[in-house]
Amino acid sequence: MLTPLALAFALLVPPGMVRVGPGVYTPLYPSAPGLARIEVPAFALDVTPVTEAQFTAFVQLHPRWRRDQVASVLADARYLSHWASADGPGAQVDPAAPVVHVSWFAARAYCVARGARLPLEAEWEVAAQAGHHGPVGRDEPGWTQAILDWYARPAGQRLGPVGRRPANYWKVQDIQGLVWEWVEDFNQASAAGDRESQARFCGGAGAQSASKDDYVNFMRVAFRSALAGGSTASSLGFRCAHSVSGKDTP
Amino acid sequence: MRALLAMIVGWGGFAFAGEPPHHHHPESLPAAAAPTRGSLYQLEPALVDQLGQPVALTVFKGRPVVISMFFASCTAVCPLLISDIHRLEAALTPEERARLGVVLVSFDGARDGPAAFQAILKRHDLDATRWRLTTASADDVRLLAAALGIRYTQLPDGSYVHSAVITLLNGQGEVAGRTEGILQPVEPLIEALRTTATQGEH
Repeated sequence: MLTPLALAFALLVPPGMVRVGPGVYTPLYPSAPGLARIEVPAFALDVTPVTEAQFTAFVQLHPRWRRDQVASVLADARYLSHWASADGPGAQVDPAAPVVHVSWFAARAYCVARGARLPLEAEWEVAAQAGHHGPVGRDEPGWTQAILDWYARPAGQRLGPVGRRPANYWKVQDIQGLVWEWVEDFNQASAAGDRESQARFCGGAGAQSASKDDYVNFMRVAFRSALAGGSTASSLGFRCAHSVSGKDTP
Repeated sequence: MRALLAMIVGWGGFAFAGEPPHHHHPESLPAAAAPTRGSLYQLEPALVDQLGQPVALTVFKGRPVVISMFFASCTAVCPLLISDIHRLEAALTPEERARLGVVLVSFDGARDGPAAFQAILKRHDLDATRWRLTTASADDVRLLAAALGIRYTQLPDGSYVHSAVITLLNGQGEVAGRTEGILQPVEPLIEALRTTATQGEH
């Protein structure tokens, strides 16, 4: 029998999601001194990335997101290019694998259709920085090295199903080790595509960064800064989020 | 280490590997035609203009349009951005200028609106029949910024840091030209505008 409070929590966190946070994200390249430490209120996040099967159902319900109908301002030429046909991935793709080759516009539309949204970068990072035993994983033995090992593996290898890796402290799975993921505010000025910050990235800030912890974050910041809204890649997927208190965009 | 850096470079390539934004139309298209797959007019943000009226992104459809993003309380980049567009207008012939539409979308839907926009129109002596200064929801601001390749972040004081991008759309809403950064030469955009004009907007 659920207490009224537990029932309220159950209603606030949608099915397939878990409650994450509150937490703090300290970006590697803050936009301003006041943004060096971002407090993230608790939010709800999908346990696993969105799968090929889930995205197939979405595309079949919303044909404007088929690769043969999507507006070219909303997705590049590689959008869903790994699918056998415009309406589905076919037998060669594991339906339980995370969907890839999706643009930010398409990922966002999927989440909105579910009554959810993409996670903010700070939210995603709070979820991703958790270890197996606590909200910050970098001091757990082998945690950072496991991420570095994943980053070093070549992209384009066949992706396994979601939900097979151990959950982290927040009960979130696959946030490291399977695919890179879109965030709502991927186009922040902090990782701006302007000349100044490109010079900063090209100068090898990652290689010079003080610790391996900085390096894994730098990799994500650099990756996001290279993306346009229509970009797709064979190792880039997404998961959805939902606010559990207050308004949807902090 | 080298492999990791090569990965970044590889992904950077992905980001720009999409279809070219400019499509050529050998034949004249009627202004009422449905937007093409390469058209920003596929987006349907809910904009509110300097009179407090709802306005469609397609308000100047069939004519060349300059579109950019700004915020009214910005004292550094935005006045220069508006001056740049004004400078572009000034370099056009009167006929070209009369056809050009300008749409500015504010990052700051919370604070901007008709009062702030009217002040800007007056201060910069802008033609209100061809300029639309607009607000949109936070969701639509993020959508338009992504479509225009504009990066921005709200600062704790409520202001914004953002990239200054001026985009030229042809009559169908397709990107015909683009400059990034303030105080850039206006000639490339003017050239793109004239190319667009001879390509089918007779």
